[in-house]
Amino acid sequence: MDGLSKFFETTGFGLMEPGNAVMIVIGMVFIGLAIVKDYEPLLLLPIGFGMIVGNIPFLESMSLSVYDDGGISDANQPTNLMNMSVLSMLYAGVKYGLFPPLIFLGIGAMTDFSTMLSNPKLVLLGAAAQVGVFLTVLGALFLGFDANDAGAIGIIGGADGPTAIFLSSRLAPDLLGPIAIAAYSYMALVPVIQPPIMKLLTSREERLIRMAAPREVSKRERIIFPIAAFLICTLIAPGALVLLGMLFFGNLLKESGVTERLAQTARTAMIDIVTILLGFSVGASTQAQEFLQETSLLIFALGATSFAIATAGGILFAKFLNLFLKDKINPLLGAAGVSAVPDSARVVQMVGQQEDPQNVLLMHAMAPNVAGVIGSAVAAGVLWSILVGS
Amino acid sequence: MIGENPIGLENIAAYDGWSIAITGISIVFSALLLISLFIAILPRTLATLEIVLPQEPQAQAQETTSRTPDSHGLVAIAAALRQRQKK
Repeated sequence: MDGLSKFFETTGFGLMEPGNAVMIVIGMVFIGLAIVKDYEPLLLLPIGFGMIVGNIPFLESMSLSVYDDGGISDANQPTNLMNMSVLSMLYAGVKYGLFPPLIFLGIGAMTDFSTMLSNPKLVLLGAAAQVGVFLTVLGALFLGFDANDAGAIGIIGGADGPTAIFLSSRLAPDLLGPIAIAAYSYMALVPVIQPPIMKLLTSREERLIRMAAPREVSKRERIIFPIAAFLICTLIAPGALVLLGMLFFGNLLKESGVTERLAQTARTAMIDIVTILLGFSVGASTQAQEFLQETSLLIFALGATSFAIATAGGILFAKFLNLFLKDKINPLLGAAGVSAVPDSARVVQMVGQQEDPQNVLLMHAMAPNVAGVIGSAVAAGVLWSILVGS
Repeated sequence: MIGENPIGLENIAAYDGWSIAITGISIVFSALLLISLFIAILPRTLATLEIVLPQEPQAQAQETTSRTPDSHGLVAIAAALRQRQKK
């Protein structure tokens, strides 16, 4: 009996704490949302399953968690790579900021900037949506976070998972888990969060505005754009170098017409592999002992606020621009300034179609949507430049 | 970390929060405004360049015959979303 009871204490059942059970249930909810509701399944399913894996308890001496890195990150401990867990090896791509730039490479290789090139005014909606980032930085400081933590939390408002992971790995590695989960959760909940805000801030007449058909964009424009945009952004904010470099490199692979094989790999196999590893390892990092803290709840609350402000910022700026424009912009397009591509553009299309089924806003909404990707990467670069070393 | 700092406007001032926020949004806006202006003048610049460095006829033919597939794809997605909404 003694032997049996000792064995029981080494099992997951014997070691389970209430927090682990809660996180396992949350992981199952994420999987349910992915499969049943089809909410961003490519993200929520790996994250959800990773949460379950990361919260199975085990003996400390077994070195199985993402945090068992063989002492690499602890200067006071001798390094022993034999104690490094497989999960920590996978998580290294998140922790050291490798996976986000690779995802941006794939995003660049699948993004068509021509709707943005055909209507440059819409780029400014992507800029306006980034107000959510900086107002949330102020909110986080107000709640008592230090500057680096506030910067990492604020970027959730950019609605860009890879950018949020990249910045928090640089500024606030301790908060990477809750920030990543918050960012990806809100990206998945775009169809739930945005429509009420969009309807609150726009009138029916405004939602009925039809946009003029976009002009044809030449191949030369589509080739020159990634090179020029990269130079403009990174000379202004060198901190955005890695993310925007990979984004525009991927786009040039696509648009040049001579590297289609590389572009095809980047936007299919490569991005899928990185998405699997990133989602799974981020989920596995949400161990209850690390994740279920007051800080995590505050981060979730700030993240939701950030998202809402970003949505409102884009819409209100579109209404402001309309004061000066002869050809009005449908203010719903402002909501697509958050960089959750292409979900927020789809949400704009759906809300617009509820008023006028003939109004095709999707292609116009892609312009601020992709501009938002650039804007959130620039915002991350700016925050990193300002806060590094503080 | 949280808990080590005071809560309120004091903490914002202590970490120079106002200048971080104002500087940050100004820089983001400036970068995207510059991109927007560049995109606006690009077609005219390319039209001038066309006089000096005309595109080869083969390249022009490829460009005019291949419309951006993605814009057709987007219209198809829009139609599919409408169908889904009707259901």
